[in-house]
Amino acid sequence: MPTTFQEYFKEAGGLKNGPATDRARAVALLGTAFTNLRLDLTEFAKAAKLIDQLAALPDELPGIRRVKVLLAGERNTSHMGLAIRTALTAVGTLVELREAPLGAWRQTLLEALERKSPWAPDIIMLDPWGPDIPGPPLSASAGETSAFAIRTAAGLRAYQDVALTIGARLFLHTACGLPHGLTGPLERTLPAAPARFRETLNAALADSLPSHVSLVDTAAAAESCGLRQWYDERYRFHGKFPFGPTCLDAYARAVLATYRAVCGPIPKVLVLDLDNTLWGGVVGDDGLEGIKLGPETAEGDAHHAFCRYVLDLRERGVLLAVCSKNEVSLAREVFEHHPHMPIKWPQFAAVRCNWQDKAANLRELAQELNVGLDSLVFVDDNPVERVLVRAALPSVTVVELPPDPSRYIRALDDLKLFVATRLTGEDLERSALYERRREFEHQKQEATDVGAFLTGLGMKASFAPARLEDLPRLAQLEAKTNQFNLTTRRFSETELRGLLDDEASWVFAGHLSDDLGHHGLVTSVVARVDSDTLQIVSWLMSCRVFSRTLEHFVINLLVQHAANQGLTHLSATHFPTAKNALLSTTLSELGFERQETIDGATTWRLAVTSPSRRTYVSVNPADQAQCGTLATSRR
Amino acid sequence: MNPDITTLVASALDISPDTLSPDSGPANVPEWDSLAHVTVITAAEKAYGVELTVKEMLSVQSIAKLRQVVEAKRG
Repeated sequence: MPTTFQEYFKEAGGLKNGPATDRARAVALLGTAFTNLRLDLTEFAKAAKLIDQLAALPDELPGIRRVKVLLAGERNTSHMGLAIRTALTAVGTLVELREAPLGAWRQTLLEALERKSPWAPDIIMLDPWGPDIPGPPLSASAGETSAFAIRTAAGLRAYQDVALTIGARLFLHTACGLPHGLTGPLERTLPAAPARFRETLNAALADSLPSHVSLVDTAAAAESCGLRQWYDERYRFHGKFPFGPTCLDAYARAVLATYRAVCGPIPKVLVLDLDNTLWGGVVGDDGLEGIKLGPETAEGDAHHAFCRYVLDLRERGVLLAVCSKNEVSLAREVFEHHPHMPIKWPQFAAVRCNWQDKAANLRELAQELNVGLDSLVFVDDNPVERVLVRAALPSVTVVELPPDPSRYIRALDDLKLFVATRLTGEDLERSALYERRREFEHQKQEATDVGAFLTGLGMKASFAPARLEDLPRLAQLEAKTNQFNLTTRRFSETELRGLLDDEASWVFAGHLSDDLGHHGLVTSVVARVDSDTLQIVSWLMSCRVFSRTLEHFVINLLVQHAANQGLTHLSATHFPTAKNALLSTTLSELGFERQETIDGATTWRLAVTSPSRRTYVSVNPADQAQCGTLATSRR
Repeated sequence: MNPDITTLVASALDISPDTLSPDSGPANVPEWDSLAHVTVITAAEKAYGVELTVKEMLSVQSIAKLRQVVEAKRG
């Protein structure tokens, strides 16, 4: 495995003229280089040149997504273009980039609107801010400043609409702070002082975001670099660059964070080693009192801060798991009795404390949590374990932890793995939902008769046309579901909104609850009427609720819906991927009959006259009215 | 001076050092565009531990001139 950029670059360069699999590997190598290293301007330039060569060939590369990016900025964006191309290789994306000419981004966007070029961008990156951002007079009140900021944000609306019209997403850059103190404390107290105005402006942008627009938080990147470092004024004057070349890596990571949050893939589980990762020392040797955790030592304080960071991630919907070579009783004691351990034992969704190899443990963890191996992020201080896991399970993300625990948070945070643009109710509840699921699996193991067990769960569900407030969660299901996903064609929130208004299309959302609690919005169907058939275009189900006959419940209602509409059949087209093979079995069990297979996609058909499927899920009485009127009312 | 300045420029421009001479600069090397100019300057600043002024940045129109500016700064 290469370690320096030069080694990665040489290996990737050697593959650029090879077959598609070689070129896909070249993209992946550049992505790993960006992930594990901190690149400088020269290295970004080399990587971007190679990416352009790889993107120039039009053929499909296995596992690689191609994206057209239009970079539009008020100032010289050429170094930003290098960073964008390089950063997105970290998520297997090959960028074809075009830049609006300096000083002409408005014209370029309006030309895109008039479709003067057949080249249609998928993403528009917009940094509309010049070195001086016009603000209110210094004497303006807080209210006047806020109104000014709202007007400035509204001034960008026309360009946001360009993206909407041409079907692109807009990545809008936030306005960065200022490096100079001027009058010192007064700049904090005056609402209209430029530094404060920029904060107000960013808040106004954030408060008025349409669903196709996301923020690239350049202001946060600038702060994390230090504003003096960010604005190396020499480059402002020398080349009209908005920020200096030494901050390019920080900018690239801000872009990656937004892109991954919007387009995925986003991992789900943080798998943690214990000794020397969550605390200093080895609990088996040093004992509960001997490990370093908490304010008594610098090292212990660093580990404590890392535990708190991990808990912050959990609060945002990331599942935590343990994979440690330890006696489970000793490990558990730390979480139950150490005065400075902020994480509690039940907050882990799954635990593997044993002496078998970590790759085997990670496979088991993925199985237990019902997620793919690529949903796992593995954190371990031991480089040997990391090498072993990388070799055995290349799809697991392995974090390169530095030797110093005070840098652990930075190492994990810089990877921009657990990113998001929205927080849904399901995110806030997820860990609790997994605790319920663990309870469910436990009861299932104890029950001898599956039917009796499922009956005993008291499952109630609603399945009805989606409402506007369901859209964020529906889009999230589209982005995150890999296993129970018929086509892996992923609808965005904007597309789903369009489908709600489309007369020939139906979007359904299903909520499940049982005696253990609410599971939330866990299944969705997008269907389209085509002559006598209701075509299922997308069908998703959260892996938490597999094997409960909810799929039977859904199809029964869809059949009833189709019959009420005077249709004779349901159809579903399954595009098999590495992960969604279970749908083939499921469709067959549901009574669908296999039709033709074209280009790997298999069509299945079901007559509405087919006998209904056995389900242990009953209609939620609270939603009965809604389900009953499924056929007549749309929302 | 270590590394050799021609090698450094060649590496920053991602071209072979054999194609460069002391007279090579933005005017006669196609790869040496305005962004590459910044790349060359930041690479030289990093390698030799110096900081060029905006005026010096503009004055560096050849490898020979870059060498002269850097050597003057290093004393």
